[in-house]
Amino acid sequence: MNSLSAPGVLFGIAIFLHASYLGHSYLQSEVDYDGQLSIDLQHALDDTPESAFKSRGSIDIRSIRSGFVDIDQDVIAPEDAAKISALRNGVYRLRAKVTTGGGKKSSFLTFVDGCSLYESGLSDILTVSLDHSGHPMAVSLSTTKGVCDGSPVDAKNLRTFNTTVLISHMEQAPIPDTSAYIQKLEREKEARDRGETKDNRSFFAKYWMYIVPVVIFVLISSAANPEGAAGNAGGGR
Amino acid sequence: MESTPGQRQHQQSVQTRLFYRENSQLYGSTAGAEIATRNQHHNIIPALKSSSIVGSGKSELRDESHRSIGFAVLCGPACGSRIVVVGGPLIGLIAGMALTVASGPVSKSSDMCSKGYYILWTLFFLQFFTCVSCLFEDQIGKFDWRQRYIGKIRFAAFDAVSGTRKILVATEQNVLAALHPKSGNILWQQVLEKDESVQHMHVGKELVSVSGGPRVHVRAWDKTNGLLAWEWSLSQQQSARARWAVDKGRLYHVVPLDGQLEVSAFSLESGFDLGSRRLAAPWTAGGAYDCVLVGATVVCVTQHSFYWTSLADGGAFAEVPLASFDLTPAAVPVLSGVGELAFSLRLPGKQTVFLMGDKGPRAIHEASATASLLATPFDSNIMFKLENKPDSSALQVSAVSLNTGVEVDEYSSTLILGSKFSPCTLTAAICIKDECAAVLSGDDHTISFVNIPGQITWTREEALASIISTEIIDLPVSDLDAAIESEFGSKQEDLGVATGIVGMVMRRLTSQVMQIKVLAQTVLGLVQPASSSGPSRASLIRDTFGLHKMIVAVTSAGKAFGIDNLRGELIWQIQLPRFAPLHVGKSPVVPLYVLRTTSHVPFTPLCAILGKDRLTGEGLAVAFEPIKGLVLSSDALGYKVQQVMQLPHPDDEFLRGLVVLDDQLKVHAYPPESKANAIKQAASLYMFTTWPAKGTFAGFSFAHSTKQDLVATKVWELQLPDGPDREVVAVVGKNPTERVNSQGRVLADRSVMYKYINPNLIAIISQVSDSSHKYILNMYLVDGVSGAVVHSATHKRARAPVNVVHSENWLVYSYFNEKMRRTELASFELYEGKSRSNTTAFSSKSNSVRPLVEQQAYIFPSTVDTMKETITEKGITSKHLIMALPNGNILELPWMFVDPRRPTVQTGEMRDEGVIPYTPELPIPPDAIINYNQTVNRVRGIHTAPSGLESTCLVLVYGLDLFYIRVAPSKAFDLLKDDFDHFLIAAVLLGLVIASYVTKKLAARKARNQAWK
Repeated sequence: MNSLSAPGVLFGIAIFLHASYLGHSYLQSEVDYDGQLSIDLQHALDDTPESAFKSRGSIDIRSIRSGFVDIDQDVIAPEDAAKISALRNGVYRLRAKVTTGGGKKSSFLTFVDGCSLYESGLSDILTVSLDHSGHPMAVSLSTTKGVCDGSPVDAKNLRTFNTTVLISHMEQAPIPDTSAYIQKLEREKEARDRGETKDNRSFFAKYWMYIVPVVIFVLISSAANPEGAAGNAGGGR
Repeated sequence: MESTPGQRQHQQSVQTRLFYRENSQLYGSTAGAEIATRNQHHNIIPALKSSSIVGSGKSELRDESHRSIGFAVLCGPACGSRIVVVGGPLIGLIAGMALTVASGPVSKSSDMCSKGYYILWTLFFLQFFTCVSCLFEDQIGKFDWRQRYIGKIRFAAFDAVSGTRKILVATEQNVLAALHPKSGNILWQQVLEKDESVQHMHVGKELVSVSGGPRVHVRAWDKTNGLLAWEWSLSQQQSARARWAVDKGRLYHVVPLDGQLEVSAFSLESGFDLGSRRLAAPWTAGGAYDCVLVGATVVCVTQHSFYWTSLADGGAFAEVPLASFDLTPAAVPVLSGVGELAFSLRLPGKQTVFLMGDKGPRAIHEASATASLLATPFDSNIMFKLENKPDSSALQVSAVSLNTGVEVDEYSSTLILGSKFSPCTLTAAICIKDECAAVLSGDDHTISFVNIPGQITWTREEALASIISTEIIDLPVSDLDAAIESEFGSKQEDLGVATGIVGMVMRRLTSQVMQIKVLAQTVLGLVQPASSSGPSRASLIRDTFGLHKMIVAVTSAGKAFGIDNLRGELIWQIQLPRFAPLHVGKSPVVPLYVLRTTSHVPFTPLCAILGKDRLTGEGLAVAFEPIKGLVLSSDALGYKVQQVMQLPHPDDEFLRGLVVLDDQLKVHAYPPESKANAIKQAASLYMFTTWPAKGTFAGFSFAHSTKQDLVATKVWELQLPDGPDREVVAVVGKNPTERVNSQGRVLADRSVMYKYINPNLIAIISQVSDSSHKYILNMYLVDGVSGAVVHSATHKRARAPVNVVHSENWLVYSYFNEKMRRTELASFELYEGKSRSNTTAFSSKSNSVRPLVEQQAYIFPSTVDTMKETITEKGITSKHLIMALPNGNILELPWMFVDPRRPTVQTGEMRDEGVIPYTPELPIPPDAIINYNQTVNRVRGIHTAPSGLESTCLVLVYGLDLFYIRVAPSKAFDLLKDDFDHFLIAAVLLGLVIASYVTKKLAARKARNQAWK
């Protein structure tokens, strides 16, 4: 495993220590009546452990089914643009506070390498992952630039974020496909039955390809060894 | 009980295997043929597409006596399933024979298939992939061993009445067993319900056990063979203070209620309810009392008085004040039974033994508060007293006459345990004609048998019934190899000095002088031989094939063991009295890491375990040497452990330290000296942790670490939505030591589907309740570095138990389908597609590819206790799943059976690819049960480790029993069989050589004769 580009991460076993369970609250499915989400975005422009998050804008997902989105992000002030270009050696962190149509709030944190955000010209992709009931379980950020190559970016590309929002629904897990298998078996059985009724040719017509070689073989062997065959015949008398 | 059906099963299995032997000869059973067949159906080599002669898996062919006889180069479908063999003429001959045998059936079977004989086709595949576990009768126990354990003793009794003397025990693991008093071997064993416990044991004509939770089972067992004689059950409310007693064919159950004691009586054999009575006991109201049943008498004590009454006649309680025995009242008195006739009252500082008579308790003896007391049954009237002496690591056994209350000197003895000392209690004792014996149960779960007077005869290490984590470790190289290693494998700075020819010559000469010196010392006997205790160091040396290893096992009993993997003998054990496991949810975990392997002579190998202090609950780390079992340090960490991971790169001394995240999200390095190494790697280090109760998952970066300190910054966080009864049931990453040999899968059109191999991928499975579907099971695949959700899927009406196997580019898990009421396996496989995003190395951060997901589900005809994938050294060998089934079988299921690409309708392309047609239900073929008739009870975990041979994987199954075996998922393609006929091959070769000489002579003579004509 390469050490630089593949961050060596080994996962031990997580130990939970805070047993505060947040109580039971029944969730109504957001998918059933096409829920809405509003996301409040905050980002950290200083790459320090205790950096403050400041507002970046907001995204309204009008329909989680059709993926119709309203993006409202502020124009970046020049000093913030300078900070973003200074982030090239660090990470850019984004906090997303999501409010569902039902008024449930949750907060997510995500990050990208500062250089990929800078080099993409602030073209980022925000993926909102929903669970089976249409509630968000993750918001993750990526950029259109996968690998940093150190190319410079024009300052005018650092004025606004060019954000693409993707909504990722949960897929239906597979179930054992018994019906298709049974159908297949039945089709095969039918084909066999049909084959048996149709094939009413004579024995010789069906198996001539086996019989002919045997006959030829017998002929050849007896032709090659005529004395033996004759001797045998003589012995029979 | 086990013998008759066991034998039958065994005979069957042998017959099946013989059947396979015949068949395997049909298909060519030499090593070469196995390579050919394996490669035919595993297009493991994408490189073959471009070049037709290249082989990717080079395997050395070796025979059993460790000689290398040539190399075979494996080849994929591009060169038409042929083996290209380089090496001596011997190998050429073998391969030639193999090819002629192997090629016939292969082509025949494809003919069959084109005619639509799917069943035959499937059988043909079954043929290949299940006869991996073929075993002949003489191979039983050759590659595997099983050890049976029963757990820590709860009740024990001697059975001196029936034919053979034996010790009958009931344990905390809910097991009943009979042990042989001479050897400690298990005579018979009955494993009762899981997650319940034995509440009472009585030995009379039969062994009667009372076990279970709300539903209590009363069972009688034949003492000789452990067969169930009769059984009945009753429902009872649970109470920690409920007591059971058996007397004169009646079973009594005493439960305290508010101000009363309810005594229920049942006919022992039939379970007939003989009615219950409530005895007024106003003194129970405060709760500061204790009761004990002595025979059929219930004795209770409060702060001031004894109360006692007979269960049989049911009179009111009689009261005897404690003051009448000159005892000062204490707040919480404790009573404990001392055999059938006596009991002891424990007060601060001392305990007093009372004999129960018709007229109430009578004080007979005083002992220290910590002493363990037990009266022997029958008429010997002797009570044994055991005192733990931790200062001198010894146990002091003495005897007291119950008649007089005076110590009997002839029975007193001191047992010196040394380093194995652990506090013990007496659980059973017996005296027959002046010969006495006792069974001791240690706090470290040992069972010891003592002859009194005398010494400990045998000890059973029952801690092995509660293994939590294991690791299989390479043995060190031999001294000679070590000298060579140290000659060549020095540190960088040393090499810097010794450059150039002169330097190298000097190094060589000095090392050879050293070697001569070592040799001289050995010959002259100056070197001290290894200590005689335990197996000698000479036997613990790495073998050529890397099959001999050391199993390190850490148990929840605060004890760690080193086990030789070949025969299963215990090499070392270490006591960790203050060590307790950490917990994830309810399940205990002990992270066990190999900090330094045995390959770095002269540095000592090092392992570390993390747990918590039994008393303070704070983190406790223990570093030990894994070959000799020496504890090097035991450090109280001073914080609670939240997450731990191992550094990916070692430091100059080949030590890969640990990074520990505490519950305040501060970062520590362990051992502390590896901090500098951790800081050096901090920029590319990420950690993932989870709070299952909150449903939160977070990732941390260490990029903000300063030159002095490690700092963790949270860079991503996921939150599972709140739901009713939301529960995170599994969080499973990949094995960090896993290597993936083939980067793609060759399709029928010779194009390559590249695998999505992300080493940082974590599978998370959560379960929520739902009004319409009852239970919903959600699966998320999350990248542990970037926090991106790579894939997610939801199962409706499915619930735990969930067992997950996550490896390479696939994920398989079992779950329970509520709707169909059956266990199913879901299988996922991830591909990048026809092109690769990054050809050199994988990076989670720059990879935004959403993988293509293949998915399929299968019905599994049994529930699954636990499962694990096989792992081999280079990852060339195909993967199998090792599954523990609740009936004690261990199943080896080829991953190919759960391949999500199995097509419903078999097309020609799929057939070329070697994918079996889809069948919804998976088989459990009896010959794929790798433990044949050796039932493994209550499996909790399976550990797999690679051996030095690419074909072979070492498997350790642990639970109540221990089972070890070697498996070869693609058959032993790099190892000649035991019955390989060296003599025949040599004879044929010799014959050919002689024949060629003779014919040469003959030809020469004929030519000469012709020339004369």
